[in-house]
Amino acid sequence: MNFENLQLAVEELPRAEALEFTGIHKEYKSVKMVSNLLFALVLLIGGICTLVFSGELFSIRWWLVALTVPVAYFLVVLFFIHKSFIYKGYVIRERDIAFRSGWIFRSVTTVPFNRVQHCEIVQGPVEKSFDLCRIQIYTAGGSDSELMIPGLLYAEGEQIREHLLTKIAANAIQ
Amino acid sequence: MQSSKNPVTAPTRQSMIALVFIISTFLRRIVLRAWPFLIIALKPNSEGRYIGLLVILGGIALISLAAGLVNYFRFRFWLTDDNLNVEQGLVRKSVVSIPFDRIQSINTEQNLLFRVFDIVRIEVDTAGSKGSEVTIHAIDKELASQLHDFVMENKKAVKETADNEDEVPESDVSWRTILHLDLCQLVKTGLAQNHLRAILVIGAFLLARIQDVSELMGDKVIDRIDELSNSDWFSDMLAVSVLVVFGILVSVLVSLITVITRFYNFRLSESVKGMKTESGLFTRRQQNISFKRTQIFQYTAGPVRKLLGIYNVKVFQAAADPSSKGAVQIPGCPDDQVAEIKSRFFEGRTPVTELPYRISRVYVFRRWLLGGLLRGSLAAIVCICLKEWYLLPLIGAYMLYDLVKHALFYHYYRFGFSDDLLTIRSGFWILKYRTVQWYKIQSVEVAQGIYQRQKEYADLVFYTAGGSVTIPFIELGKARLLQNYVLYKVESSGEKWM
Repeated sequence: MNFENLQLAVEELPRAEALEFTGIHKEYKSVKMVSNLLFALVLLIGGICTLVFSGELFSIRWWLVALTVPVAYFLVVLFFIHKSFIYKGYVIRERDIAFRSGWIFRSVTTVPFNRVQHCEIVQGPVEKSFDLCRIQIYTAGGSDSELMIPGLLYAEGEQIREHLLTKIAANAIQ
Repeated sequence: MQSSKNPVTAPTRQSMIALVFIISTFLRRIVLRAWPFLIIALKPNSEGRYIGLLVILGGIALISLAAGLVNYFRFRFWLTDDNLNVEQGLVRKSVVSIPFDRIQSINTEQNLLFRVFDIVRIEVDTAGSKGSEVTIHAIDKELASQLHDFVMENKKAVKETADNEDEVPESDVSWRTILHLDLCQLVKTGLAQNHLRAILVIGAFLLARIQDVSELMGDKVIDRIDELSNSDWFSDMLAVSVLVVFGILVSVLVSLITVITRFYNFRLSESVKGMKTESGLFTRRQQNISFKRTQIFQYTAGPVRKLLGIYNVKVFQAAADPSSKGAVQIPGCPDDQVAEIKSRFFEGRTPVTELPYRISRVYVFRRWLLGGLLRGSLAAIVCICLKEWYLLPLIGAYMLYDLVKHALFYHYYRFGFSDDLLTIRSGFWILKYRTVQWYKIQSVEVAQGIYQRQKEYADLVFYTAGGSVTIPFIELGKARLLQNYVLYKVESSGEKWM
């Protein structure tokens, strides 16, 4: 068989790229911001503690370093969060689920329902305060091939999981 | 259909020989962790006696003995109608029950000591279910084979009631040897290993040694050596060539020894459902390959191997850790037999007859740009800043090597497919052929960097339960076509991937 032959048949196949990806919720940006802000604070406090204990308390130069590093970190992360958020999105089709992500390096990963091992809803403390959750979909293909869709409303997450579970069950019966 | 009786109804301990093994394992583990203390204690006291060392060694021995004994006496295993149960735990007792259905294979291993007592070590492999791998360190060979038969038979019984597959019962399976490597073939295989890597390792080691020496004796000595060697260009070259020859010799010797000890008396046999390999000089090892569980079939050949007409076959099976555990190696497989073995794995599937498709030529420059060129330029800038001129030609050589490497990769990369299979040839020095069945793919990824987005190229990655295969830099249209095709293949297939 050659490629051209296949192409004719393939043209009629359902296309993954023609689909509309559903964006994730805007609050996800806030979640990322808060958790990175916490990390920047830890950096800041750590830096100040080092200053205090190393006796460099009155060195302006070191104070500058201790202040700029966390702030710069936070600003860079903010930029990345904003840029990568735009592209994140998911599609649920009749027989598979796809998620796209990335900013500089973008990728679309698709997992057929009949290859899903199990799925779970994860909700961290920050996500909880925004009523968001992420859904983790496991396959047997190792950690690289697994799907994680963040920034879903908890109700949405549960809906998707319900849907996935019925699909998995249907496949098991077949 | 139950033909064999449950051999282990009551909780049973391992054979006493296991004690030796367990204690020595503990000993090794503790010594490995505590060796810095041992070195510190390696100081005689005022009377010239090594009391500290003795105390520590005694302590380690005592702890290992105690831990080994507890471990041995708390480890018990037994079989119920459809579970293998293992009770263990040093402090907290835990019982793991593994349904026979989840057991993929039972591999056995027998080292020299075990052979004297006719005892084997068994590893129960449950693919994909993390944390439930079980090893029984030592049980009678007879009992082991009874256990194996019982598990496999009852597994079938469970299966038959479930989906009525008419498969051959385990006891009726007859094994036929299809490949046996004698010493001569093993020597050939050992010679054909990749010695370049070994030479590099030895070179790195020697360089590190020189570093150590300079640290120990100060730079003066090194300066003297430098002066001496600079004055005599000829002796320098001589030293280098001696080193290279020495490196090749050591490498050949080491790989010969490892190949022979590991694959001595290698035997590959086949039944209806799969294959098994047996090999080893001191430690006899038996590994099972099931056709169903196989995810990727791979064979490789470097230039030397090609010349000798032997291939290195590797079969990647579904495993909890796709990188290592499930892979079974068939070393030194004669080229006419590779095709035969391969056809056994993909029986009834449309074979891939040719590999007509290539990746884009852009690959060479792009990979070089982000790899060798970038790294080389950075290194060159550092060198120029430090005025270390003599390193520049080396960096130039590295950059050239990287370019040639990517050019060769592009030159050799081919892929082709049929209704059932995908075959990819990759590599730049040692060519690697990998074959995957479409329906065993778990998920698909289409990935693009900035440049790839502009020029409409993409990398395509297929994940299976035994590792992944990548097609880099193909046209986006083709990548999507293949992606849709694979998804269609997987989603329309009712076959179990394992």
